[in-house]
Amino acid sequence: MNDVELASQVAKGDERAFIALYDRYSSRVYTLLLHMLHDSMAAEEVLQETFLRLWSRAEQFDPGRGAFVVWLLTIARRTALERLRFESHRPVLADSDEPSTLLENIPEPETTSEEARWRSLHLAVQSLPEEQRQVIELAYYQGMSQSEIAEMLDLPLGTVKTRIRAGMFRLREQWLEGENVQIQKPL
Amino acid sequence: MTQEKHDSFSENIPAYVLGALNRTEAFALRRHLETCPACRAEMARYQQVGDGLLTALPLQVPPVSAKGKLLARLDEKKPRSNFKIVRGFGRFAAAFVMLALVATNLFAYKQVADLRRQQTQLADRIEKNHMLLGMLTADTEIHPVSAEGFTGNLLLDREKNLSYLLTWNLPDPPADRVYQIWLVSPNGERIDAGTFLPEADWPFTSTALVASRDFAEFVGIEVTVELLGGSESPTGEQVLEATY
Repeated sequence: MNDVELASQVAKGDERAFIALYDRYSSRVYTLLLHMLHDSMAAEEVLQETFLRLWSRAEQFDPGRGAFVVWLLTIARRTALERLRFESHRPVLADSDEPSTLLENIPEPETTSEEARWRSLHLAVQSLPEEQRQVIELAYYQGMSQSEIAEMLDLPLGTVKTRIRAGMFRLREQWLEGENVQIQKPL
Repeated sequence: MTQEKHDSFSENIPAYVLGALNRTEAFALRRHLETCPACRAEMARYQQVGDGLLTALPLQVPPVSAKGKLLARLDEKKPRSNFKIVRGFGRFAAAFVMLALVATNLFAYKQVADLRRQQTQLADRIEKNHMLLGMLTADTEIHPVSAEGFTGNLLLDREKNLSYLLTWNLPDPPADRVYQIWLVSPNGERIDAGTFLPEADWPFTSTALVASRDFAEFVGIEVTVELLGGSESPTGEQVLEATY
């Protein structure tokens, strides 16, 4: 069954369909949460919370508005941001992993087309200038506003805005025009 | 709207997708998107980048135990039936219980739906109030409205191209009517700026004006009573006006 069919079954209370979606996407969700929360226990807790929300809200998924995985990851991101705000965690600067280490963890491009796409997206982010990647990471994964980023990094607000625009423009060019990626395509 | 203002909104789209705009900036951009197809298309392209950022990370596998813990919590959430049907009642009793459960669930569902609707209305009201507070503390023009039997003000921020109409003690229009706001141009042309009804159970009503053009191109507003759904041009009684 594809994602849409499984989500439909979950909405009817089908536990087997729920487990199938967990097996399919738990790693993807956990990866995002670990990146945002920097704590494996917290990531596991929010992973559970995310899938419990899927269990209780599966009927709210609308295939016409995008891919299931994006919907699920959006729930995960929002849940993690709620936790970050609740605990008043001060955001941590983005990890500066060595590119070689990162490449070891990325699936090889020939495994599946989806994994190849994720790999290319990751490489696009990593290829950004550090100053642009840093502000995008703080905004998207730590839930910080441009003003908060400017204050944290002791930079003029205009500089933060410029870096965000430049970085996002570069990602857009690489992902959408350069590689003709279709993120919204359902599985 | 001037090209310069359009560009200022367009430049905010990447930060909006990342969730990095403050509340006022995000609200102003959402208002702009309602009337700007070019920016909506731009937003859709950047939204794909935002969606991509959700997955653009080296894969990590959760602990094996996480699945068992999750499924245990799933079981806890399952409704458990503790009552036992006494055999003597037979099918009739079982059917009665089922009907009662269905009725109870329907009632509960309706209550949940009502609560959700109230929650949405409350969230809208809070966002609107935040926006108004932001405008009141900023460099916003405040123009009194001319009306009989009630009072009000028109708030106008030319820089952000935002405008709100505030009224106190505005009476309800007839059942099949709404209030409709018109922007008045220097040559007397009237442009639709949205319809509204007074807030139920509140003496105070705030309404955001909607316009596809710059508010600075107009010299004032009028409000008339129109049929539900609004009119293409003013046809009903005028209840207030304001100039700026």
